[in-house]
Amino acid sequence: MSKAKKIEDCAFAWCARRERPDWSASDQAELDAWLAESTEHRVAMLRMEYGWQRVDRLAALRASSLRQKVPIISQRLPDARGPWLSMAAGFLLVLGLGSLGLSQWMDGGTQRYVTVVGGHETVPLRDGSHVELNTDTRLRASVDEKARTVWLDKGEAYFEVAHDPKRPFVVYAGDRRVVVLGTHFLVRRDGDRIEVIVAEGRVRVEAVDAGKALKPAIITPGNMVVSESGSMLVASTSLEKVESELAWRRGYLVFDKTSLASVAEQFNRYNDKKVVINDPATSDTRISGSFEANNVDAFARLLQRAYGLSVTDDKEHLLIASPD
Amino acid sequence: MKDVRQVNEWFTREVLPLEPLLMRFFRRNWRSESDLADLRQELYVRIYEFGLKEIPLQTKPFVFMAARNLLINHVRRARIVSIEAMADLDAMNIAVDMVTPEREITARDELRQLQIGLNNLPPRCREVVTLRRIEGLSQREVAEKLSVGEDTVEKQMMYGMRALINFMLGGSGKIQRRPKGSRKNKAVGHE
Repeated sequence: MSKAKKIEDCAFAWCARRERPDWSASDQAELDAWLAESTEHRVAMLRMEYGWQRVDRLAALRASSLRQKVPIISQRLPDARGPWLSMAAGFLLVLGLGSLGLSQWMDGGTQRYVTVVGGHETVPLRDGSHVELNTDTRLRASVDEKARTVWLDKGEAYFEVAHDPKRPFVVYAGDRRVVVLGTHFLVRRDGDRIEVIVAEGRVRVEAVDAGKALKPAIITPGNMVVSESGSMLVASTSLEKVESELAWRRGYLVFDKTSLASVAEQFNRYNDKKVVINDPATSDTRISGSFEANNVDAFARLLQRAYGLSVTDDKEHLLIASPD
Repeated sequence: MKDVRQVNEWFTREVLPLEPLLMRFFRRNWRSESDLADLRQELYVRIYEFGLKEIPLQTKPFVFMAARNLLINHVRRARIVSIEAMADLDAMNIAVDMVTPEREITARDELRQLQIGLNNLPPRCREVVTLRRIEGLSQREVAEKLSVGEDTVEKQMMYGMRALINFMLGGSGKIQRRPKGSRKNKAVGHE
């Protein structure tokens, strides 16, 4: 067998092993060590993760049970039209459309939830807590008599935790653990970067690996934690900021003198049609206001009218440039 | 030195989706199918290490130029260089330009492709993957339902995942059972 194939087998084995619910901090350390050995390992792992992630969308093919278990569709509609529309939605799913939002399935007692780009769903957990998943998010939850555990694999989620002192509620995001002391809070994960924002109550953020000499941080409303590769920063933030960070729950994006480059990044998290900025001069244009996250076309029109930028729409991209 | 996370993200978002095109390019310009996985691996290492220093502005032309240089190096390293091989390599410039820009794959296309990959699996394997990944049954439940051992379910599941990943990355999606001793019945397509 060629060298590349052997490495590929290892990468596959790692991906499979990481799926198991008993994946621990020491497993992670072992994987990190393997990755650090060579670039060969690193690229093979990236490639396998990429493939694995695409296959993970299989869950979106799940049709019938989705409708019963997750009251996504009926919840939003007037009662009289509910049954008809949710039937229609069920039908669309049978055709294999993942864009409707959430998919979930069980895996050895662990419930898994996935939203696609543009998706936004609230799911109840067995203990009465609620998790609200933002766009392009993957998480796993395991709730039993002794513990309540959630792994945020990717994306962003808002938690409303039912009070239960006997069962701690713990959210794992990368190498950080958020221990809930009864509350409403947000966790966002983008690779190694983790942000935690509290809307109500208190949480404790700590390293998963107790060996790391990181002081746990306790955060309260108006505080946020930003953690990235080994460091953890507690910043105070205004309640308005918390409110605007949570605007996606209402389907909005809120910006306050934000650069066009990062505004585009935000929109691109929610839409398949991507905003592309063609010249650097415009990317620093400051944008303020609140926008519907899924209505990128309206945003483009505003750029055209209010900021005088040139917008070209080729159906898949919105190309933004300064006027000639 | 760039932030590793940034490089990983770039590699996943811009380089890996080019793989089907890239393998087509390799296959057209390299005779021995059995070298392809190693060539790809070597190329990815170079691209990634380059990215650590500087992320190229235009990923696609960069990737294909690097692929071309890699093949040229391999031809030079080979002791016997046929005139034919060199001529082909010169023509590769054109081949890179002619590669058609692929449409961005939407979530919907992807699901359709997954469905095709799933249909290509052998029946037993497909059944296991469907029950586990789509219906969401546990390993034990699947074993009971199909009256087979749990280890069979696990093995089929691994075969299935592997084949599907291969298919989603632009390979044939054929199951690769490790042949005992010989490599005679190697599956077709790259992985």
